[in-house]
Amino acid sequence: MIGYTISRLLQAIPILLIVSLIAFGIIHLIPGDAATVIGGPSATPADLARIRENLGLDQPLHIQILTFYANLFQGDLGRSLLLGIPVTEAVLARSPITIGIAIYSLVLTIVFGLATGIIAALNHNRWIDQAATVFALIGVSLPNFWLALVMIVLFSVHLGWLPTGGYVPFTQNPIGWFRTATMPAVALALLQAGLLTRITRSTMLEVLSQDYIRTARAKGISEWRVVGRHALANVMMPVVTVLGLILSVLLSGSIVIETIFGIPGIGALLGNAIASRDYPMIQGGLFFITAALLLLNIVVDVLYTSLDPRIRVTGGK
Amino acid sequence: MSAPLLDIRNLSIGFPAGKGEVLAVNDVNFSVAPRELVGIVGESGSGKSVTALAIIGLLPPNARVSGEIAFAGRNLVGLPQRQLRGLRGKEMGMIFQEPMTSLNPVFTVGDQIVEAVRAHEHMSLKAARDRATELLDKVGIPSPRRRLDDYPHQMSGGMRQRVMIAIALSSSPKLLIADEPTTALDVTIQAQLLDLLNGLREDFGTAIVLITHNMGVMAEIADRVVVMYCSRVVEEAGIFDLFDRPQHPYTEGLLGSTPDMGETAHRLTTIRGGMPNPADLPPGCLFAPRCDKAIAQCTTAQPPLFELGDGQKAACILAPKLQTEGAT
Ligand SMILES: Nc1ncnc2c1ncn2[C@@H]1O[C@H](COP(=O)(O)OP(=O)(O)OP(=O)(O)O)[C@@H](O)[C@H]1O
Ligand SMILES: [Mg+2]
Repeated sequence: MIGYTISRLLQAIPILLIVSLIAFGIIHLIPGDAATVIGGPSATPADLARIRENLGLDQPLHIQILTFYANLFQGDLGRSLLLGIPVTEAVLARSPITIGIAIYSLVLTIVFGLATGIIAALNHNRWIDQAATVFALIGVSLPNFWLALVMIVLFSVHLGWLPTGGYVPFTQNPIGWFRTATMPAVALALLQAGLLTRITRSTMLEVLSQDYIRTARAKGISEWRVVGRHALANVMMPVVTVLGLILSVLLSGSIVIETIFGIPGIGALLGNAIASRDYPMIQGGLFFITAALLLLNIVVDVLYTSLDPRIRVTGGK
Repeated sequence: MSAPLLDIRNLSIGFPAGKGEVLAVNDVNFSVAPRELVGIVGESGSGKSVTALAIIGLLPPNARVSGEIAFAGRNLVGLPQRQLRGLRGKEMGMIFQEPMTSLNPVFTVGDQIVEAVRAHEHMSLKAARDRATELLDKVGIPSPRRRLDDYPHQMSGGMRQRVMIAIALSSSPKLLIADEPTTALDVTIQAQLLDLLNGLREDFGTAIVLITHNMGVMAEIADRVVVMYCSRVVEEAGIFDLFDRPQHPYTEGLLGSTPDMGETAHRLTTIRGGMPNPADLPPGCLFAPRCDKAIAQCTTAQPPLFELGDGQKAACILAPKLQTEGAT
C-alpha cells in the first residue's frame, strides 16, 4: 500500500510539469500581455518594452518556461504582477476559502447524491425512482452559473433570505459563513449530485441483483442490514472512484461561481489574474490547482484500494 | 412414515409476461420427511429453482404464488416477510449453484458466517467466532481459525461452497435446500461435497432438498427423486424404483442420457427436441411432442399424476405399472 502511494506520487511529478507547460502555452496564446495592462492605455512603446524587460517577457518562450521550472524546483513560483506579493502567499491566503466551500459542496453532493440514488434504486420503476431520475437529469444539464443567478434572484432579490454575495470567514461568524457559502455550495453541488445519483442508482440496482445479496437474505437478516451493509459496501467502491472526477468538476466550477458571488477564493484570484494577464499568478495558481487535484485523486485511489480487499491483498495495480 | 417436514400442495407460481402470466411452477406436489434427502431433477427451465426459492421465501416480488407450502405444519404461502425471515437461516438454509459469486467479496468469510450465527441467536462476537470456527471445521476446511480472516477471493470454488454450507448450517436448520451445489465444481470436489452433505444428515438431522441435473449424483445419495418437466412434476419415486422401473418416458430419457453411473452428465442428449415454450403450451401431455411412445390419446388431455404404489407416481397414461395394474 505504501509502495503504491509512493509510486503514484512519483508519477504525479511529470504530469505536473507537462500540465504547467500546457498552461504556459495557453497563457501566451491569450492576446495582449501584462505590459499593456500594467502600463495602461497611455504607455508608449518604449515604456512597454521596459516593462517587458523587467518582467523577463522579452526572453524567448523556451527560456521563460525553463526559468519557471528552475524557480519551481527551488519552491519559488514567482511574484504576482498585480498584487506584488509572492504567488505562493496569495494562493495560501485564499485557499481556505475555496476549500471550505468545496467541502461544504462535497458534503451536499454526497448526502443528496447517495441518498437519492439509493432511494431510487430501492423503489425501482416506481414514481420515486422516476422523480429521482428527472432530478439527476436536471442536475447534470443545468449550467451551474445559471442556477447561481436564479438562486440570487429568488432567495436574495425576491425573498431577501440570503445576501447576494460577499464572504464572511467561518472563524469570524459561522452563521454568516453559512449565509454566504450556502448558495455557492448548492450551485456547485447540483451537477455533481446529479452525476452521483445516476451512478449510485445504477450501481445499487446491479449490486441488489447479485448472488451474495440473495445469500444475505437467505440468512434471515433484516432488509435494512442487507441494503445498508451488504449492498452499500459494494456500492461505495464505484462511487469512490468518481469522487476524483467530482472534485475536479467542483474546483473548476468554483472559478465561475466565486466570481458570481464575489467570494475571494482561489477561483476569483485566478479569474482576476487571467483578466489582468498576471502571468506568474495564472501559472502559479494553475500549478496549485493541478497539484491539489492530482493529490486528491491519489488519495481517492488509495482509499479505493483499501476498500476493495481483492485489490488490497494483491498490492494494487 | 413420520409426518412430513415439508409438504408442498398444489403449488403454482406465475410470473407476469406481457399481458398475461406464465407459470414457472404448475400444480406441484411433493413432500420431504425429516432427515430425508429428496432430489429434484429436470432440464433447464423446468421450474426447479423457482420451487426452491418459493420454499425459502426468496422469490422476486412480482411472482404470484398459490397453493400451500407447509413447513413443520405451518403454511408459508402468504406469510409476511417478517415471519419468513424468522425461519430463513434458522429453520431452513439454502446453498446456491454459484460459489464464486454467492459470498460478499468485501467481507471476510468469518464475518459472513458470524453474521449468520448471530442473525437468530444473541451471542457475543467471541462466542460467534468460536462457533464459526467450529462450523468451518465441520465442513472440512483445514486450519479453520486462520481461514476466518480470509476474503472469498482467497478461496477456491470448492472452499467457498463449503463456506456457504457452513453459513446454511449455522443454526442447525431442519431443512437444507441445495440448488445445484456442485454443478460449477470439478468432479472430485463434487464427490467430497456430496459426502459432506450426506454426512450432515447424520450429524445435524437435516433434511435436504437437492436440485441437480446429474442422475449419477441422485443415485448416490437421494432417498427419493421428483422429476420435473416444464413446470410440472412428471414422476416421483424412491431411488431404486426410479432407476429400476422408471414409469415416465421423460425419466427414461434422463436415465438413458446418463452414460455411466457416478459419472457426470450435464447434457440430456438423448431426448430429442426442446421444452415447449411456456407461453404457448400444446394441449395434452407436455412431453408428447418429444415422446417416442406417444399415441393419439396423449395429445388430447393432460394426464394426472397417477399413484402407482410404493410411493411411485407418474404423469403418463402409458406408465408400465398402470398397464399391469389394469390387466389384473
Ligand atoms: N424472476 C423471474 N421472472 C420471470 N420468469 C422467471 C423468473 N425466474 C424464473 N422464471 C422462469 O421460470 C422458469 C423456471 O425457471 P427455473 O429457474 O426454476 O428453472 P430451473 O429448473 O432451475 O432451470 P436450471 O436448471 O437452468 O437452473 C423459466 O422459464 C424461467 O424463465
Ligand atoms: Mg435453477
